[in-house]
Amino acid sequence: MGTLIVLAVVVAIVAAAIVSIIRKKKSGGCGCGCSGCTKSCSQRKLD
Amino acid sequence: MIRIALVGNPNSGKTTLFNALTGSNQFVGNWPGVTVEKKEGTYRSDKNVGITDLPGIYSLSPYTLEEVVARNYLINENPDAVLNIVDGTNLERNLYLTTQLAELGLPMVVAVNMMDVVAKQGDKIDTKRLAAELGCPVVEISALKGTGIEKAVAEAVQAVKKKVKMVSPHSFSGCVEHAIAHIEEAVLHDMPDEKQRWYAVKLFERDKKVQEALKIDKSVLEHIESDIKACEKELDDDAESIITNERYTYIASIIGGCYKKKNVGKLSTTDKIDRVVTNRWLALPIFALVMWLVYYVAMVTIGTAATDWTNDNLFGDGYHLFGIGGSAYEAAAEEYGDTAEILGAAEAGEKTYVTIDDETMEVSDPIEITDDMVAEAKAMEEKYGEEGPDPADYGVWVPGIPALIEKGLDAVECADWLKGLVLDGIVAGVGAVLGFVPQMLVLFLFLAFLESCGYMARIAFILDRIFRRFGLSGKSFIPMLVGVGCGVPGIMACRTIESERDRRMTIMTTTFIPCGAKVPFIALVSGAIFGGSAWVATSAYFIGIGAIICSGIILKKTKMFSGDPAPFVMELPAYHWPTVGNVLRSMWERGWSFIKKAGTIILLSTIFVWFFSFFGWTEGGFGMLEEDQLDSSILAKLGSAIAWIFAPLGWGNWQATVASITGLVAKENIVGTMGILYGGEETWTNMSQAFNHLSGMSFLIFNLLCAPCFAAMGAIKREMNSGKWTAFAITYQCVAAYIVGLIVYQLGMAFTGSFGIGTVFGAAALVFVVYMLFRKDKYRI
Repeated sequence: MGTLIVLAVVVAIVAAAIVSIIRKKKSGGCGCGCSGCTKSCSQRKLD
Repeated sequence: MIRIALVGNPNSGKTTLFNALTGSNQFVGNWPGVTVEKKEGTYRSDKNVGITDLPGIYSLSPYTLEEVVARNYLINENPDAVLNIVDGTNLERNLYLTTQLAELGLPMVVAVNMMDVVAKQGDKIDTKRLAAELGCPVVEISALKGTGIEKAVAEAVQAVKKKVKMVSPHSFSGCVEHAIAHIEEAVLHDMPDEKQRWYAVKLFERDKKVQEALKIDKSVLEHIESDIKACEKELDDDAESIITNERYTYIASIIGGCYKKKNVGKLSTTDKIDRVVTNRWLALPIFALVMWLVYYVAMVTIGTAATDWTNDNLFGDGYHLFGIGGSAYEAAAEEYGDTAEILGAAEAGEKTYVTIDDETMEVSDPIEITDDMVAEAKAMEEKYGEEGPDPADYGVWVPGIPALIEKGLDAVECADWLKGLVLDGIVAGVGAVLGFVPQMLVLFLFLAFLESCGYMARIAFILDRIFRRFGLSGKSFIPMLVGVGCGVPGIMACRTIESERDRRMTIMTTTFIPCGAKVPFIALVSGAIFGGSAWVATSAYFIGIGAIICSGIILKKTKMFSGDPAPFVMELPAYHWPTVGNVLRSMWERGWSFIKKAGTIILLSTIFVWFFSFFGWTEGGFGMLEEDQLDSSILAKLGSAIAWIFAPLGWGNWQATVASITGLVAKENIVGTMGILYGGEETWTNMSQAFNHLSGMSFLIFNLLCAPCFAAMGAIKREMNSGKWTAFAITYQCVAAYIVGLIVYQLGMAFTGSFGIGTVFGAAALVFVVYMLFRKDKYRI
């Protein structure tokens, strides 16, 4: 039972991490997640 | 909703004003190109007022990406008002844009910023007279201090409500006005009156983008061309220069009446500082000293002390809260001394015993055991027990996170394999990365200070002088400065480089500069292998700059990249004390981003690494392995298959190979992977035994210079817009990293007296690099 609870917690954390990464990618960022990011990742070419 | 556009030169304080008006947190840097895309928000005091922060531009001419983005917004999206931020300490240069904005016909308010600095310098600006000359309201503000900003917005809102149509008070010379009138009549008669002026002036300047946008008939273009040519002949200059010169003449006439400088001809404080900081001989040594100081404080003193505490206590066995009970425990531990070693040796019938240092794993000389020592040891065992004094028995003991989690898992009788995943995988891996948060925060604090005060902008200027001697331009260094934070925006910033060849070359070499993600890895190597030396971290940046310069020299001599360096003009902002809020905000944003990344990408990577390193084939078949069986793991098999490639670099072991490969997902992963493969708490100790100084430096250099993370590779692919060029860039980076690592290790070994076949290859590589650097450039005129 204890194993199942811990496993459920780990799976929940992993799922949250994956959802967070996907959401960030969809919101238009570069997905780098870099700590030094100047948030100018969403530049688009004009032409 | 009323929409107000913030327009102004770079470094005029637009983003600071935007932050103050909307409450959004934007990154404020001191070199152009930090915010290329427009940002939007709502005014804090009135939600019906929307504010748009446009990129910093010097004019509305369509040469740079920033100018085109801002111009397109102003023409096509028609904001209700323009709030033109003008740097009060640099009025003449800033008013050039103002004269162009006035022609757009949009209600406009001029906000003269940095009035606090103007007052400090003893200068005076007659804003009433300036308003009369410009034909629009002029408000004094200090975006940094927040003074006058509400008034500026109120004036803009008033102008919108009164439906004020801005009419430019500036008239060009006779033949120019004649030509403009003809253009308005011939081409723009269907347009609203207030909009015609700007288009007419642009058509006079032969602006290609305006010509295309208006879809002007060829015959009409020829008709207006005759007027333009007539004017050029009369004034003996080209149309664009005529307009530019007349604008500056007009500005000079305004400045004469409105701006009184206190110290005419005298050097400002910024000028005096720059005489030293950008001096041709002192600039580089000062830069080296500044970077060394930053890394010394971040990595050796404050940062290391904090990281050591985090690794040893929070992610270790635990700690005494506020030190309560700490000294009593230490006294007890000291009294217990070598009891375990003495009794263990005595029971085994040994006559001597040895001790092993926990940090360095150094084994002491054998110590003779006497009967008195055994008796005393037995007394100590009786007093403190077989395991010695328990720190939890003294004062307030807070167990470390691994100990707490282990206790919790034992309490619920968690299965061994899952316990291993949680402790040896997630906690060891993510904990290893999070342990560097204190160092990262201190480093980010210093870098934010250097950026905000204006010093970082000088570095591009200093390096331009050096770069130019080798056929490069300081303009190529701007993306690299951006890349110090993150390689992805650094690569994207290469768009500001007009020359295709220089742009490709800069994209290829931008990631040689260590980005923020590589800092934990640099700190790990510096701490574990080099005893915390600050020079290791500083040298990482100079290795990056050296690699860029050498790459530039070598590539410029090839047909693909030959050509003269582009001219480089940049504005050096005045030095100023950054606000505590901006600096702390920048530090926190970067730090939080780092922690979030640890909880997502790095977490997933550590689970992957744990599984593949703790499962493998032994005599009993496939299953979970013990800590001393990791060499039989799946990861070990895969890593060992290619580890031999790195043997000439001095680190041909599977752990280092695997760590380098996981670094392609995110460079912080190198630390996380090392944390799992080298045993969590014992990582530094085990690494110090697996690497010597030469192999450690080689490992550092390879991972600094080789292919960047996947996100950066994606950026390279987008910016190169060519699979072939992307592959070339990545290959170049890996080969360059390998060659430099090879030279450092093999020739370093030769210097210490170890010769072998590797020395030959190292020497050959060095000869090759030297030849490529110094060979004649047949493409240079």
